[in-house]
Order: sequence, then C-alpha cells, then structure tokens
Amino acid sequence: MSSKKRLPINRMGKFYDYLDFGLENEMAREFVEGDLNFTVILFRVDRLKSQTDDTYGEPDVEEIKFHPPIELKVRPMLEESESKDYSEGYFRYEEYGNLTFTIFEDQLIELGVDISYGDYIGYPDREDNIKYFTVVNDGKINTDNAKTRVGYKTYYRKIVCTVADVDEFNG
Amino acid sequence: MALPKKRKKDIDIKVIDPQGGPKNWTDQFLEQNKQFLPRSVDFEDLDAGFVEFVENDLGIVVKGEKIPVNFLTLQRWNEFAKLWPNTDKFKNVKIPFISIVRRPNPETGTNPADFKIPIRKNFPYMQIPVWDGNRKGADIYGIPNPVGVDMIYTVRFFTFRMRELNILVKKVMQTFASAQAYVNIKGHYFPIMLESIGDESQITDLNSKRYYVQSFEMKLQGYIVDSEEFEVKPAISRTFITTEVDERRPRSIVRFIKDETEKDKTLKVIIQYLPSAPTSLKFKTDNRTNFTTIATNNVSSYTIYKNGSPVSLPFIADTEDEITISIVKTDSTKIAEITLNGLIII
Repeated sequence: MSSKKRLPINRMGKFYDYLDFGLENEMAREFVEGDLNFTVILFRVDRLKSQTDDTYGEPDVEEIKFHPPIELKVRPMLEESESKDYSEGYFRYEEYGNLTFTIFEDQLIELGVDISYGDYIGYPDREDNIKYFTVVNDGKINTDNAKTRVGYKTYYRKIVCTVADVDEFNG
Repeated sequence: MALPKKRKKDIDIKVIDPQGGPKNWTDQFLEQNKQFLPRSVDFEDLDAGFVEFVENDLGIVVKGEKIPVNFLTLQRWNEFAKLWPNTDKFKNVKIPFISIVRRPNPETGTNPADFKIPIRKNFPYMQIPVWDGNRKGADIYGIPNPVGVDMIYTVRFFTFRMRELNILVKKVMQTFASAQAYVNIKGHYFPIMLESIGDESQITDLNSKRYYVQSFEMKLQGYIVDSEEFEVKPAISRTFITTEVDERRPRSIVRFIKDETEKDKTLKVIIQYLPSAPTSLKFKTDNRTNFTTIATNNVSSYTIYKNGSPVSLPFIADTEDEITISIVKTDSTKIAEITLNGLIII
C-alpha cells in the first residue's frame, strides 16, 4: 500500500543516489527486457466481475472474469517436472515444476498493473503450447537486502507460481 | 343429495386375482440367474460388482458430466488405457475423478449371516423336474458352503471444490444411512459396510497444487461360489422291486454204515431228505446186499425201485443195481429220514 506522503531516501547518499539507482536499473532492464526478452502473460482476475459461489467462493472456470492480458518481460526459473501419484501409487501424473520469475517493479508501474495472489500466468514454453500457472506468492513484500541495490531501494519482485489445473483455468 | 365436492374420482376398479400373488419362485429365480444353480462368484466378480455399485449408487454428476470412476491395478499400460479418455494433453488424469483401490489381500469373511460349516460337503440345493421323453424324473442340485471373504476398498474423490465434495459425501451418507448398503452381484446380495471416512486433502503446501481428497473405506462382505464345485445328480425316478429265485437245491444225504465186527456183515444205509431237497434218491452199494428192514422218520409213504422197477422188502441189491427210494414227507419243511438195514453177502 503506497502512501501519498513522500520520504526522501538519504542512506548512502555520499556515494549512491537515485541517479545511480536509475542508471543501473535502466541498464538491467535493457538486458532483461531487451536482450533476454523472456515473456509471460499475466491474466489478472477481475475480482469485481467474477461470480463466485456464495458460501465457498469457488467459481467455475467460465465464471472467472479477467482484465485484458498483459505481456511481461521477466527472468523465469522453471523447476524440473515431477512424476507424482494421486493415490497410493496409482493415478500417476507428471506436472510442470513451479515457475518462479523476477520482474522489475518499474515495469509494473509503467504498465499500471499489479500481480496478485491468485492471478494466472501463461508461459509459452513451446510454439504450440502455453502452460498456465497460478500465483502462489506475489512477492509484494520485497524489501529484503537481496532485492535492493546495495540497500538503497527495492527494484524487483519475485513471483512464485504453481501449475493451474485446466479445471481451474483453461486459458 | 349432491355428492361432496372433494369426492374421490380415481377409484381403482381393476380386478385383482386373489390367486395371483408373487410370481412363481422358480420363474423369478430363473429370471435372475438364467439357470437353476446360483451363478458362480469369484474375486473379479466382487470387484466388478463393487465398481458398478460406486458408479451407480455413489456416482455424481457435476456440471452435466458424470464424474469418472476408475478402478486400477498396478499395470501401467492398464492405467493409461483406462484413464486416457479423462486426461489432458500431457496424458495426466484430470480432476475431478473418483478412484477405487482394493487392498490386494482379501480377508476371511466376517459376515455373520454366512454360516461356516467345517466340512465343505455338498448340500442339496434344489430339485429340478426333468423329462427325458419317456418318463418324468428329477435332478438334485447340490453346492458346497460358499467361502466367505471380506474385500476392503478405498474410494477416493479428488476435486478442487468443496461444493462438489459435499455432493458426494451427502450421497455416501444417504446410501449408508443404515450403516450398510447392499450390492447385487450375479444374483447374490452382499452387504457393504462403510468403515471410515478420511481426509487426505493436499492443502497445507502453499507452493504446490492443492486439491481435496476424501477417502471412504468400505468393506464388502462377500463370498466365493465356485461353479466347479457344483454337483448335479439324478434323483430317483422309478423304483424296481425284483425277487430272485435261487435254483440250487440241497441234496439229500446218504451214509453207509458197515458193521464189520459181525460175521455176516451188516450194512445200514441212512438217507436224509433235507427240506426242499428232492424226495427221490438213487444209490448203489459197494457189495451185494440183502436189505431186509426199513425204518422211517417224517415219511408218510415210500417206494423202492431197483433198476427202475418197484421192489419190496426184502430184496437183494447187486453192486451194479441202481436203487431208487422215493418218499412222501409228512412235513415237507422238516428233514425226513429212512434207514435201510441189510446184510452184506460175501
């Protein structure tokens, strides 16, 4: 939740300021968004228009309404798939590993979007396939040291997604 | 007088046959079993019957589609073969679905209605009339005491939604409202007990796929009927009473008693006519003998023949003469005896 009241960041002011931060950020974004160009599609759930079951809030696939999909340039990390079973060694299935990606906060600000818990992410891993994931950790709290530039300011978010079943979201 | 407004207008005036009643028992039985003997039941039949019970009695429809029920064994190709209609493009089974897993080891039957008889002898089951074209008979059908078995099944329902879970749980509760349900497998009724309801939902791991898993452990109290052990024996269709007559008759007994102490050797011929033995007897003597007297017992009359000609005492019999004595018994059921006394002529 952002506040209208602005507080200047004065830490490390003698050798690192917003100009340095901005420069490094632009260089990094150019590399990630321009050179690497990994693209995912964000499907944001329209929480106002989506109809939900009164008691349980469990909408069917067709009852979930979305905002227009948006392409995001990210740095994805897709875990190895696993062969599992549903029941005592029976009903084997192999599922994609979790998708974790990082995204610059500036990109989200520029696009005017936010990624929230429960949104859906499409990752086109092949020419003929888009795998869909659901956001299980939207990384909104990202002020840890690793996500800042030398402790000056947070500049990216780490989003963790897990596989979305077709009964939940079919693209 | 006007009829009341709420008078009954749909009186059933159909003629009811007072002799009607239920259909003949044999017809009912044949209709159910298609044969006189009960149909055999093995483990595969019990499994198939249980799967059918889950599909029909516990099956649910969600959004117009019947939730698939899958009963699997460990064969991998079999798993694929059964599941492929309900898989995604990566051939993963799609949720929701119902799974049935049977504990591989059947246990000894615990159904109190199944009596356990120590020696598995064949018991007469029913008598079926037969007609061979000539006469009416019957076949006796016999089967041994069935072997009771308990089959433990775990039925699991996988779904993403609580409201779908509610539908199945409600159906299970209604079906097992009396603690048990019944399944008809090949004409045999077996009880199914709901042992427990468990929850194996994958909910706690936030970073992985989450779904509900409700498990229902059920025990099918069945028995095994092996048609190889059935026995069909013809019943008694006709009784013959026969009397055999034994043609062998006892022979009369002839004993020759010589008294060699006398100078004139005496000879005593004792003839015993046994009951049912011929009353005529022939004999020859080893010596020339002069028969002089005769004594009888249980003989009303007698006739002595020498070489076929009747003679009277005294008479002399040579060694080559054939003596025949015919008698008439006083009491034919008793032994008759004649003693012929004579002297051997040297």
